[in-house]
Amino acid sequence: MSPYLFAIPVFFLLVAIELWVAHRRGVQIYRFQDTLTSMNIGTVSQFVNTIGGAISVAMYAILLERFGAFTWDTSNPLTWVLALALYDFFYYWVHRTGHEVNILWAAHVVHHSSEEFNMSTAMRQSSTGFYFRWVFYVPLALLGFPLKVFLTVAVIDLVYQFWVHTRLIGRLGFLELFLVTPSNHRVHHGQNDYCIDKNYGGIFSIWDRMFGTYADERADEEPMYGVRKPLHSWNPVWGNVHHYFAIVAQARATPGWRNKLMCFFAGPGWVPPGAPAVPAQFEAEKFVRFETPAPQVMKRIALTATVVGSLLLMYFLFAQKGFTPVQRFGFSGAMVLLYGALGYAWLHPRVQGAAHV
Amino acid sequence: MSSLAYSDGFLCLVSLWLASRSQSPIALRLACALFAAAALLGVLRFSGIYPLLGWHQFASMLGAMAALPLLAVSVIWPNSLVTRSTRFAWIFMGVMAVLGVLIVGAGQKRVVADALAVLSVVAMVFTLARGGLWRGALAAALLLAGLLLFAAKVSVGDVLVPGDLLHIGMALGLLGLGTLPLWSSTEGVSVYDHGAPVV
Repeated sequence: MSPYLFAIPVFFLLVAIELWVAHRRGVQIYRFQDTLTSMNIGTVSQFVNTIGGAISVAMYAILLERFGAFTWDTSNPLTWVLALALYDFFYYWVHRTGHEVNILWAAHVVHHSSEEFNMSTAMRQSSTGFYFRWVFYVPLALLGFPLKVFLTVAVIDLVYQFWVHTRLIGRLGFLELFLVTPSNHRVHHGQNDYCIDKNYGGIFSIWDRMFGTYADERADEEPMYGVRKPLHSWNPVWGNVHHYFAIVAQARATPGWRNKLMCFFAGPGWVPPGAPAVPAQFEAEKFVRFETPAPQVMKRIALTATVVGSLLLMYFLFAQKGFTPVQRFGFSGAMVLLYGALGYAWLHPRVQGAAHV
Repeated sequence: MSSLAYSDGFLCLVSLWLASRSQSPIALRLACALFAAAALLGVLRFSGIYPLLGWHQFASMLGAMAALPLLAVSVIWPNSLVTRSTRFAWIFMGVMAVLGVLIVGAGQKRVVADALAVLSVVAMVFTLARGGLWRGALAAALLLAGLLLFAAKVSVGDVLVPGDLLHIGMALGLLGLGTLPLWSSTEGVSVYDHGAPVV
């Protein structure tokens, strides 16, 4: 049974607790549309990744069987500790390349597309990252770590990262030296100049310190969350694919095959010679969060769809082993369409018009 | 100890030396580092010191699918981004390695790796010969000979088995290619301009 079946209620509970604490402190860190969009992106990613993740697991199992060199005693805690440390090391590189190579950024950008930073942001996981992530963990298969060890440490690494998505926890003393904490992860999600391409760690921040990508949060400059080419949409499906479209459009408009390739493999900030550059410096005073009118009826529909979708996801995770591949595709496809339609509806002129009535 | 351990040791030393030369372009150094790793695993395997059969096969597959094409790119396009930029050399090697893992590692289509290796070396021979770089062409031809003799399972008496011929051919070929003055030209100026090397 999927561990996420148990994690999802816990995630929702943590979001509720964070909301309550924020309310008690009198700070607003959640916005309705942003939060629902984050949750819906998370739901879509879970549906898609039950299929995409299966490919990764199959690849790991094949490589383990053919090339796995050592036998590990799974009753020895050191096996698990070593596997977790190695997984986190490779996660650092997955994450770093996900930020620094444009075509991989297209998969990861959805996680950074929220202009808020709260526990719902942690749910904004990519639906398309499965195609390259597994590659980075091939060394674990070559080392012979059993599949159950790999899957367990993968879940631990992902679940750990949930709680660091909060603005309500300050600095954590000596833990900041070696762990990923809310403070140093806020830097990672910031678009201020000092935050760009920093703090890629999953559990341990030591990799960032080793490879020169660590930055401390600054008391004098609070991070402004989001990305410099904002999504400007509440659509979970568009959030997942918009940057792919942008890359293809850029490549089509760019002369020369070398520059076309650069569109895919250079950094996300790269622009063809002669084209206007993405602003090199962040100007906090010019930053405006994405806001759209939200009529009450649309809010109710969206909230209902989010709750129902989450329950359907839990049912899917519970019952998926009994589904045929066609049923899985059908179920997941229907949910993706539902959320795509919901996201489209938010910005539909009639909905926007109703908000002004 | 098998003769393969010695010949792989020779290949390992040559590759390591080429990988450590700071004047060589990053693509060549990266390709040689991968050859060195594969050869080191070969030494461990054939000497019986620490046989990691799966790892040696895996690294050799990467050598054929990723390192040889990368070497070919650096020879054919000495001023390309892949040849000179660490980032793009890694990306090229990474993409090719992924294809290798999918096609050869998981799909068991070893013939694809063999064909790609031969094609890469043939392209080097052709390009170097056309540019009049005869020493380079000879070095690439040695590399090609090693690959073909190995594929044809040719032995030299009881002394050298097919694997030895592959290792020696590769080592001599790499030595010749790695010390070419191909990459010393100014960036943007092709060494193959006007059909003759401009070095």
